[in-house]
Amino acid sequence: MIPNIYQGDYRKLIIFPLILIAISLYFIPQIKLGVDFQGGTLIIIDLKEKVNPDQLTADLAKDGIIGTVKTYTTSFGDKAELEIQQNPDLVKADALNDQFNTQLDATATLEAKANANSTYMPDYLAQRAILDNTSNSLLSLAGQTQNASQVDNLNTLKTQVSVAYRSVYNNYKDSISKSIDKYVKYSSFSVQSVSPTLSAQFLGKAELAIFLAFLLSTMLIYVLFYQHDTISILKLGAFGALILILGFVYQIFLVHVALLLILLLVLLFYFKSLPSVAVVIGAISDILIALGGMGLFGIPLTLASFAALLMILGFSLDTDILLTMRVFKRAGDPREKAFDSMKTGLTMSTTALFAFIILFIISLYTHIAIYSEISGVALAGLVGDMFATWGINAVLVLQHAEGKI
Amino acid sequence: MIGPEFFKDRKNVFLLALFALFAGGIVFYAKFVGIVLLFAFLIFGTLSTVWKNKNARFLALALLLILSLTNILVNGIKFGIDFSGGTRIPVVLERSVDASTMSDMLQTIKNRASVLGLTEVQVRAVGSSEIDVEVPGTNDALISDIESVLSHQGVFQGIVDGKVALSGEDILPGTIYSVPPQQLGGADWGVGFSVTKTGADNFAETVEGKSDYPLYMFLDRPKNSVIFITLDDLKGGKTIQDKDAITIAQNALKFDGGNITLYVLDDFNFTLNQTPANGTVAIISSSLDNETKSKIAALGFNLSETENISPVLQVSTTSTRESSIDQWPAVGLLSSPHLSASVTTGLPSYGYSITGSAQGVGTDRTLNAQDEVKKITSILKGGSLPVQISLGSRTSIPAPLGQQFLELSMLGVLASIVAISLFVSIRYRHMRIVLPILLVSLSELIILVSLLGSFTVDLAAMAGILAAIGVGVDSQIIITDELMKKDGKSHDEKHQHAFEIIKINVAVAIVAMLPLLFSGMVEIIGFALSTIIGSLLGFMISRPVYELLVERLVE
Repeated sequence: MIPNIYQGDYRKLIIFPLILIAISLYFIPQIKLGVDFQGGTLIIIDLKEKVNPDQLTADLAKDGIIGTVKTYTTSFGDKAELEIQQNPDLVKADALNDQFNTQLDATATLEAKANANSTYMPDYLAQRAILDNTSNSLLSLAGQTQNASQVDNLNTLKTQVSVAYRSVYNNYKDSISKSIDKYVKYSSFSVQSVSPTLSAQFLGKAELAIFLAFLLSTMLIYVLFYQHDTISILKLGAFGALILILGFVYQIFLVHVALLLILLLVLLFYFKSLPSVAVVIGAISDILIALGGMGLFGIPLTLASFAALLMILGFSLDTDILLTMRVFKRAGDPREKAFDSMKTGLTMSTTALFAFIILFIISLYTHIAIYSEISGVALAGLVGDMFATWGINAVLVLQHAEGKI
Repeated sequence: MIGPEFFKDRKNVFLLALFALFAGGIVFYAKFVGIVLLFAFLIFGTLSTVWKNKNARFLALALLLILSLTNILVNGIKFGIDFSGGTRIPVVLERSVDASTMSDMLQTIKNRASVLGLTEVQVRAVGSSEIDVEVPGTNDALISDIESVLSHQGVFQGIVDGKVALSGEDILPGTIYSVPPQQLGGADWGVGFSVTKTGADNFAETVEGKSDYPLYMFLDRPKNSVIFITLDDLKGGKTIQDKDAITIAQNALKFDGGNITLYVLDDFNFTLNQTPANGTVAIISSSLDNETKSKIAALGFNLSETENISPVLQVSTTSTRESSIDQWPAVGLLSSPHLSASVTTGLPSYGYSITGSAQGVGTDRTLNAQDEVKKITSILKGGSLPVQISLGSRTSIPAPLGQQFLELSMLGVLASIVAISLFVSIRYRHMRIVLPILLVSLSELIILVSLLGSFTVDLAAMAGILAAIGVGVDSQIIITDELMKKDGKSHDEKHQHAFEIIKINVAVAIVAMLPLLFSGMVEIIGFALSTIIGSLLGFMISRPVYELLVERLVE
């Protein structure tokens, strides 16, 4: 039987988790953004012949294709995975295409007006010149003649520009396949492209999702946790709504961080609810350690690993709530109850570990990226949770229970 | 347990009635099975949480379990191509679209894909600027067919008296709009648009003096074709003289750029003056007898069969307007508004509107009017796709590989259930606890798989199922923990304690995942849904099961 770690000066328990967090902070900047969030192209090749990944990376770089190469073996043969960075031409083409579509509508409306009333003619000509400019830029990217101003009919221009836009993509794909043809013998390959606009969208949505998750769960914990009177709940609801609105209006990462910090401080000093805040601190520490694990072990940030992070948030809050509820709502010695909760909590963590270790093993065998990303993050998060909850959160809770903070 | 007493309790009867209702829904309305199950899950789940009677709670759950099993047995589980094998064709939209435009596009793409007779095409939105089309099988020829059908942009032609008065390229992009009610002047709906200068000039010249003529709006009018039709099919049940019907049909088919010759089968003797040009298509009804079909083919035509060969006639009762054909989908004629006098003066106008009336009364009429607006707008846009699309590279997963993934994943799920059950029993040193935990986890698995399987089980959903198993067991751990304590409290008190914690845990776990559901990141919605439902199930199921079973085992 393990002795009760909360006997004696338990404050020392906080040291190791804090060190873990410090280490994590060091590794967090090294987190790779997956294709979902960074944009780029992922090519999976069915190889006829084995290939040296380093050699292939160097060869492709010679042709101007910068990326990373991984090879592995499945029961259906050898495969190579190429992750190629965003090509600047594609980024430009996307931006130009978006610009063209907005300008097109404006130009068409002006043309209609000018047809009916010639006083609009100069406005129309000016707008058409802008449109022609954008079209020509896109046409030149595609290596086609820049003759936008000679095209009378806007529908024809639109088709021409669409064709040019698509050919920028196709040219890029062709150049990649030509390169691959040179260095690799393959039977087939598939290409997954995430455009820069799409990946930027995903990043924005992901960031908003995490902000919302933290905000909503923090408020929920306060509401469900103690027997708070209705007035306090309403006050917190109003305050939370304010933060929500600000968060939607200013969708910037630092603003969100600041808003959440303000919420926590308000909960602590105005609503005087240390337990609620302690729970959230435990969860934040856990997420930081999980992120550190991602940086250290090279688990990329993709949509799947991001979803797993939110799952870890929920799970981490669960163990923190278990601890806090037991210590504050049961009769008896706080240290005993804390230790008791730890035993229950570790059981919960272990069962989850079982499930995700199995998922991880399957991913190793099948090379299903989604499985390895989710299980990798989950495993890092579960380990982090053990230290964050029982090292940091428990210490805070016990200090509060013993009247020291 | 089940005796006459059973049926006396009104709750039980109510539950059985609900069960019969849902079971009927599952068996007979396979299309809506996902929603039916979701409702069943919510209703039975809530009842099992909220009712005080332990037996009633248990019954609610047992019935939910049976419903889920029935669904799996009757309707099977829908797997994504990652497990069933197949090809995924990403359709990339030129720009992001809003939710209503996206649903329009999904419908249109489904229609296009189903033209090829494929019943198993799945079309789903990925975020707001991509659509994934998934087909089973990896046949290259079929995939190319699908790709060309998907990327086809329709050609719009507005023909008056045999000449093109208006074409798709004359209409200025982005100027098509729904005419506001105050400008409709008595009509039920109106679509306005602006045209280019050349378009306006051409239109004015072509329609001069042709007031009240129909403007035949064709979408993808067949080239190089003829049509064989019986008088009955031609008249479509309307009262009109034979020769009048033939005249107005020929009017609709008249075109400088290529007539569609009308052959009336009733008095046709299967000889022609000249052999048809190579590749000429004969449009015929699919309900013709085989003998007639082969006779037509023998004349040298390629056959194109359609189920709906009849035109929709507008039989005139007044003397001022002649009868005409309103629609004829078999030849791509989708609408025929009549030219008003004001546009046929010979003076070019740059803004036009097409107005009309709608069928029905009240809200029906308004809805029909909106449908007409959508239809005319899409015809004018030449292909009814609001946004241009391009096709991304396809991903093909051979069926055996998908099968392997599925087997391994299911094995993993079962392995973790067994491992977890054993671990918890060992931890609490009470081997017989394995039973309720196994039971709860398996029930949870069945209900979860049944629910997800009525939508699609893809890789993300499968990962979510494993996550749900690992995390859903937490409720049971908390209850078991409480029950195992030897602190002299009653079972009820222990349940109370456990439940206080569990309720908050489940609520928080769900709230943390909720933003994912609404983020529009469709790729991982399966994962988020699995974990949320898994948590809920863990909570809903463990309670009654534990109340009835574990107590007896613990004593």
